Parts: sequence; structure tokens; C-alpha cells
Amino acid sequence: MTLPRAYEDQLVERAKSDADAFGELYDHYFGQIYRFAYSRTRDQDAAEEVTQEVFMKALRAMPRYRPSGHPFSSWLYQISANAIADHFRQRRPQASLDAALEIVDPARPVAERVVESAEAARVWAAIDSLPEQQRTAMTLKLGEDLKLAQIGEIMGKSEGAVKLLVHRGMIGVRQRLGVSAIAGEPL
Amino acid sequence: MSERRDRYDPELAELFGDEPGLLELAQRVRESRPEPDLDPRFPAILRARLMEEARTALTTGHASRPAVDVRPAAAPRCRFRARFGPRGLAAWGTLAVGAAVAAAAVVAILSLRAPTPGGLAVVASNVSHQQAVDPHQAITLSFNQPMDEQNQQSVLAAVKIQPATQVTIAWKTPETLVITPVHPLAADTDYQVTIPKTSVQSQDGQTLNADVTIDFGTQPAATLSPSASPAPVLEAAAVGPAASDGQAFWGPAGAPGVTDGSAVQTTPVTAPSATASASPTGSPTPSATPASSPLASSPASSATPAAAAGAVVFPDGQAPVALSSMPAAAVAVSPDGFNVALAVTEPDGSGQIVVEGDDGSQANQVWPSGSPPGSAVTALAWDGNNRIVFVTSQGIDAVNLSNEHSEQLYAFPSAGTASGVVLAPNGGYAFLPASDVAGQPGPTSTATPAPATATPTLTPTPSGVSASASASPVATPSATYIPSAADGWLVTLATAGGQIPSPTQLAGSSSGVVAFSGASDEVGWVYAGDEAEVPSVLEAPVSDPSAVAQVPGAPTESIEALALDTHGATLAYGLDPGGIEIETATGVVLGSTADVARSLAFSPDGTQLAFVAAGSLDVAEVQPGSTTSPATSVCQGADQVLSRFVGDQVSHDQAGLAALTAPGASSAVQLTPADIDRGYVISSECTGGSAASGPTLTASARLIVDPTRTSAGRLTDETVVLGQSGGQWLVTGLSVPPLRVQGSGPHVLSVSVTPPAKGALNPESAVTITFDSDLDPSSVTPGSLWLETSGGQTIPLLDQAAYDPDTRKVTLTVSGAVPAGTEVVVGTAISDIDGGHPPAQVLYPVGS
Repeated sequence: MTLPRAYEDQLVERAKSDADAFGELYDHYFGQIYRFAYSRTRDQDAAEEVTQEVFMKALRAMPRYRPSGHPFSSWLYQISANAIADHFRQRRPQASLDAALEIVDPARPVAERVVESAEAARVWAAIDSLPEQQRTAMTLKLGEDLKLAQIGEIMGKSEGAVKLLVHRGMIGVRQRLGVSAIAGEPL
Repeated sequence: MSERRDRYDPELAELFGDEPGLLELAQRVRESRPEPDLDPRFPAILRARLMEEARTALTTGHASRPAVDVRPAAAPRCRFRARFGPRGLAAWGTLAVGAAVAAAAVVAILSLRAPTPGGLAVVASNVSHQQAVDPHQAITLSFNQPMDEQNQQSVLAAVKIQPATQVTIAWKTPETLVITPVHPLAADTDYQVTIPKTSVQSQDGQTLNADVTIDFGTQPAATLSPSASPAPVLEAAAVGPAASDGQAFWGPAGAPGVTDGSAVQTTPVTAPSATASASPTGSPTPSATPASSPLASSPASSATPAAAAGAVVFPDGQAPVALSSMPAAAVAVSPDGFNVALAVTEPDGSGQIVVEGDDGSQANQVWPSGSPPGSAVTALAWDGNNRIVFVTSQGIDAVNLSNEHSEQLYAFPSAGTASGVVLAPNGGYAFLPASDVAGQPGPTSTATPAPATATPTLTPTPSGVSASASASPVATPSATYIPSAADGWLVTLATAGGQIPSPTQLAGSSSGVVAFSGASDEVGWVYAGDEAEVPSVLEAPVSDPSAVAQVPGAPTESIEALALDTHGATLAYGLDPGGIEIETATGVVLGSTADVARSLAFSPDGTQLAFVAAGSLDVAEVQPGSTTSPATSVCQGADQVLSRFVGDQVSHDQAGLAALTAPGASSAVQLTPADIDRGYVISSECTGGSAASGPTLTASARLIVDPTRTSAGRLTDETVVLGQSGGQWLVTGLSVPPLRVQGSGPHVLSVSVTPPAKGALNPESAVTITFDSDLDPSSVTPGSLWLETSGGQTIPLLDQAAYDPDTRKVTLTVSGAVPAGTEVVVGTAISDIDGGHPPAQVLYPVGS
């Protein structure tokens, strides 16, 4: 999934003036950005809208882009995070999370429940209900497998701050699922 | 897209290592993440649209803006219909569905807002949702039925364009209406064309079911672009062949020269050495090497080090001069310009220093004075006209030319490599890599910078490297730089040029990319500290190395070579993988090329840069900054920082905004609306400030959110204040009013000042205000548009305001220079041709 760094750097530089090079970047990163957008919006239309916005903005800003030492994808994720935030500002969630959670059976360990797809969706819905920063950090970590340092770059935070967001996010998910502790684990 | 990454994530294990329940939950969540639904046509459609945009935006340099919605107009998915509008359009969408690219091509049709199920409809426009429309372009509307062409006047009266624009109309065909602006459209402006539903009718009498609106934007004008102007291309002339790893230098009489590559394998990244030679001559003659010159067949040009000739200089308009017949690793001209010192490498690898006349005659070996042979010399510099300081693998030595007595100034520890030592051109200072400092570990990198509390044991020498040294953080007003053990040291070698109080560790200098200014009064280095979000360049006076200043605007690419001009006011960067950029220390880009160069050297007067690239020694003229008049020089560099700041606001570059914001100032990241699409500077004013506060640039910039299918365009005019901090321009104040709907009425696009002509008998200044709307000329009066001082006093005009409808510019003329603190006031009485007025009085700073 990762382009060789030297090759990516050259490709990015070429993409400032070469449409085909930008197209190659698009081909490589479309999947990641779309998946991230979908993970956050859970809506195909919204994911398409966000993805389109991200690449259009990237194209527009390409001549000004300067490598920061992090992968090019960090920049795209950064634009994506902004676009998703815009999306949520304009469109409030249509489904009530409370309604989705009210049928949870707290007697079963959460870890066991998430193996079922319906439960998995519910867990991800719980992630959606987290505060914005936690939600973004959780999605990038658990949905995109990004390194903590790269998430920090995307969110403009230190690695330590990202760790804190992910940790708090996981605790938040556990609480929202109505379970005070995983089986065998003290609070 | 279906890839599932279920592999082990060590970071999660570390994060939740002591909470197995959370770790398991995290792993399960990760493995069960939802696979996204994806319309398989979407990637191709979006790609096609991007390529279309890219070919325009990337080749013309016009920044594109969010453009046509390209999502598939897929009939099978009801959601598309719902999103594109009422059902009437779905039929068109259904008809348009075919190949993916074809679908992209008809999106402009679908995105028109005209609900006309089965009836009369506008089905296409050449500008709908385009965002880089040529201001000279006419607007066409295509209808799905032959139209009644007899009612042009009523159509003309009914069609509305915002911003207000005078147009003519004509029927190109019975189905195609052409709307032509009388004057070119305004640049970088969102337009909306409205066709009232009853203003047109088909030949069989049908009318539109609803008003049709078409949104588009025009391409930006270069003068309004928020981006800094493209760096001027350095005009470099090839002056002669060079080995690819040869070192550029400036020889006698300011002639550029190059060492041979074979002798410089261990030559450090170095500053220009010809710091005090005679004044340079004019531009070197391109390709000065005649075909018959021995140099033309010199091994230097064939990059065959084993057979290389020595250092060569290329005097302007003359045949090249070989300074030595043997490989020379370094060359330096004496301060009086009469002698040249060469570090010559013998075939057996030993080294010697040869001094000869400036014409290459009277060569005299000055070191070693006898046996045994000396070590290879990798760098040298003149300390006055009678002493040479040089570097070998053993240490740093000096030789007195009067008696050829040599002394060791500094001995490298056995672990040292000597390859990274950089000498100041006056021989008074040196940069020593950590590996060449006794008691320091080898060149290992430290992951976490920490105060270097351990005192390195610098070998004391007779000439003055102090025996003790303490590392302390050195700070600028905006940052604190903490050295790590891997960073190198700045030391005093001789008494010339003043003493460094004590050896000082240069924070972040483990990069090894270090250079001294030609006058040896400044040292610059590429900062490699772990806390640096982007590579940056630091500069400090050698007399006070703790007074570190970050060079604003330094390239964020990997910097492999660095050179400073005479006093460090201009820097040259050799970038990886390629490119040379010359910038002032205030961040003004003076020029760039794509050449791949690792050896850079400014001429003694800083007007030329010599570099070795692609087997050639090239020389480029260094163009001075464009802001040269005394009235504006106090703010030189501020405009570029302002442009970058606004550009970073548009691109949501948080790191960039943070880097350009002064400590303690409001957070631009927090104040800037997240959904900004465009931005540009409207006006700015430079004030000299006081001795305490320094100069200030106050600017008005516009941030714009383009309209979408569901929301109107919004904008805000922010106020940005820049001041100098630590020698660099930073944003010290920012006020961003809430976004407001763009609305009707004229908006100011830019304000500029033309100062009085030099030597004019009756000096006068012109203030030009450019609007986005066609103005009602009768509304341009002293009561609708005027100048006033910061104290609210109206500044008298020499003449009535002049309005040019072709350019939508209003010019106000005043006597003499525009006073500092002047503001343009646009009152609500000014009116466009449709009678629209600004919602409120607006002030824009102008002045000197």
C-alpha cells in the first residue's frame, strides 16, 4: 500500500505540473481516502462527496504542497479530516445512536459481541458518537492502521496526544456500549 | 478496496498492554471495520474529471477550485436522483448514463437546478459549475426545445447575473442562447446567472417550471493569487566543464572555479572560500571554454577522477586557467587577492598546500615544510594574508607563511572522520561534527533531543579552543532549540574576527549541512532536531551563536547543500532530489532552478552563485529582491509571508499556519473557517513602527467559501497584522469576522497604490480600487468612495474619482505620497448597475 518514499517524493514533485503524475497519485490513494471517508460518514454518497472534495482540493493546492517529512497520504488525510468535519457541520447525523444502542445486551462481553457484523456496526456507531477528535484518531488508528506519529501529523498533535485520544476513545466506546468492563477486567 | 488488514499492530499492543480487555476490544473493532460500499464507476469518473481539471490547473498555473460534482448519475440508485434534484432531472440523468467518462461529461447538465419534468428545460451550459472560466468567455445555455427567438429584449431584461454584469444576448441556434459580458468578467469571482422561469418560452409556448440558476467561477488573475509569485527562474550560464563532485569556488579576480572531483572525496560541505578577493568581474561568458582548450578534453569533464587535472578558474572572456596540475581539494584566495592557496593531493594520497600567484605562477609549497609527507588536506582558509588554516584527517592546523612554521590548533579524536569539518572563510572559526569532538560519541543519532549536560572535552590548543564547553539551549522568540549529543560545535580557531565566548553546540546541526557567510560573521545550518515538523534553516552570528534565528520560508524539501552570501542575508539551498533555491534571510525567493547541485558558492559580493551541476560549472546571477524602495523596504518579505499565510488558510495547512504565527498571537488554525475554498489579499499597508515595535504590515484578505448546489457562497474579509520577530515576519494579529453570505452589491477585489514618479514636478499618487461588479458610474462620488487618515480625516483628492468600466477600477488621485495609515472607505452609497449596494461601509488599509 505504501509507495517507496523516494519514488513518492519524485511523483509528488512531478504532480505539481504533470496531470498524469497527479493521476498516478490518485490511483494509489483513492482507496485509502475513500475508505476513510466511508468509515467516518458511513454513507456512500457522503463518502463520494468527501473523496471528490479531497482530491479536488489537493489538485488545487498541489503547486503549494511541500513535503513535511511524512508520507503524502498524511496531507490527503488532513484534507479529508477537514472535509469530513465540514460534512458533519452541514448534515447532522440522521440516526439516533441511543436508539441503536438501546437493544444492547450488556450481559455479554463486548469483545465477543463485536464479532457479529451487526454488533460491529453498533460498535462503529459508538465510535461515531465520540467527540470529534477521538473519533478521528480512532478511525485513523483502527480503521486505517496508521501509525500514531502519522495520525499526529494529520491532526496537528503530538504522538502522545494521539495515544491519549485513542485510549480515551476506546474507553468511551466501552462505556457507550453499556458495559462497565470487559469480562475479567476491573474498572 | 476489500483489503482487510488483520495483521498485528504493535502500537495497539503497547497502548493497551496493561489493559487486555481494551486491547482485545480494539483488535476486534479493527478487524470488524466495515468494508465501504463503492460504486465501481465512481473512481473512473472522478479520475476523468480530475485529469481534465489537472491539465488546465497544472499547466496554466491557475489554481482550480472545487468543480463540477462528478458523482455517477446512476439511474439504479435512487439516492443519486434525490441528491441531484427533483425527479425531472433524473430522466436526463438516466439518459446520460453510459460509459463512465460519458457520465462525467454530462454532469454539468444534471447539476443545473431546473425542475422541468417533461417540459421545457435548460439542459446544458458551457460554464455550469466550472470554476476556472476565462473572464472573456461567453455563456451559453442549451434548451431541450426550439425556442422563441423573438423576445430578446425581454430575455435581456430578465436575465440576472451576480455580481452585477452588463451583458448582451443572442440566439445562436433556436436551442442555444448566448450571453456575452460587455466587459470581461472579474477574475477569481463566483458568478450566478439566473434565468427567470417566465423569461423564455419555447416555440410551442412552454415556459420553464422554475427559475434556472447557473453557478460558476472565473479563473484567478495572477495579481490576486494568494500564492506567492512563482520564483523567478535563475538564469544560469555554463562556464566550463566540471567533475560531478567538484567543488565550486571563487578564485582570483572574482573568477568562478571548480576543484577536481577526485580530490574532494572527503571535502566537507563548505562555504564559499573566496571571501575577500578582488571585486568580481561581470557575468562569465557562457561556454567560455574553447573547443581547442586542453580543458575541453580534460578528465574533469569526463568525470574520470583518476586522470583529473587540478583546480581551474574561468576568467571572464579569457581562456580557463589551471591553478594546479594535480588534483586540488580546496582553493582559497588571500584577503589581498594576490595569492591563491591550494590543497593539493599527491598520487600517493598525501597532501600539501601550495601557494601561488593569482595568475597561477610562482607556485610554492608551504606545507609540509619537509618530511614526512602531510596528510591529505580537505579544507583551507586564509587567516589574514600570511597564515593558512587547514584541515587534515588528524586535526585542524595552521601554517605561517613567513617561516612555514605549522602548529596544530585542534586534534581530532581517533573516532573522528574530519569529513564534516567546515572552516569559516577567515579561518577564525570552524564547525566540528560531534564525531570530531573528543569525548563525544560517534555520529550516532539521538531520537530524543535532550539538553547536553555532559561537558565535552575539547582538546585545548595554543590558539584558543577552550577546554570547557557547556551546551545550553539557544532560543529565538518563537522556539527553543535544544542540542543533542549528535549535534556539532562552533569553535574559535584563531583570534581573527573575534572570539566565540566558548565553544557552542549548534542545536540540530547533526544534519552536517553547515555554512559560514563570506565575511565569516554568520553561520547557518539545516536544523535536524527531532522536534522540527519540517526541515528548517537556522542562522546565528558567530559572535553570539546563542542568538539563533530561523530563516523563514526555507524549503521544506531535504536540503543537501547550503551557502550564505557575504553577510548571510541571502542563502542558497541545494535540494534533494534536485533543485537550487535562492532566498533572502527574510524568506523572499529570489530564484530557483531544477539543477541538481551539491556544491554552491556565492561570489564575494553576493551577486552571483556558482554551482556544479550535470558535469558543468554554472554561474547564475542573483537577482535582488523586487522591493527596493526605501519607503517599502522596511516591510520587505512581509508580502510573501502574508501570501503564504493566506494560502495556508485556504489549504488548511495547520503546520504552515502555526509556523507563520507569532507566539502568543491568536491561533490561526482556530480562527480560520474550516471550509474555505479560496482566498486572496485585497490590500496591505506597511508602517515603519517605532524602535520598540518595529515595522508592521496590516492587510485585508478575503476568505471565500464557494457556493454549492445546496448553499450560497460565503465570504469574510479578515485583518492580518504582521510584525518582525527574531528577524522574520510572523503574523502577530488576526481578526476573522464570521462568514457571511456573499449577497448582492459590489465587492472590492483589490486595492493598490501607485507612488509618485521619481522627479515629478507635481508628485501624485494613485489609489486604484478594483470591483467585481459593473458600477453605476453616477454612484462613484466623494460620498461613496474616499480616502481618510487613521484619525478619520478625509484626504482631499486632486481630481474626481475616475471609473473605468472595462476594468471595473476606480482611481483616486492624491497629491504626493499616500500618507501612512490611509484607508480606502467604500460606503454604502456606491451602487452596481442593478442598484445593489454594499451591506455596510468597508475600510481597506493602504499607504506606503
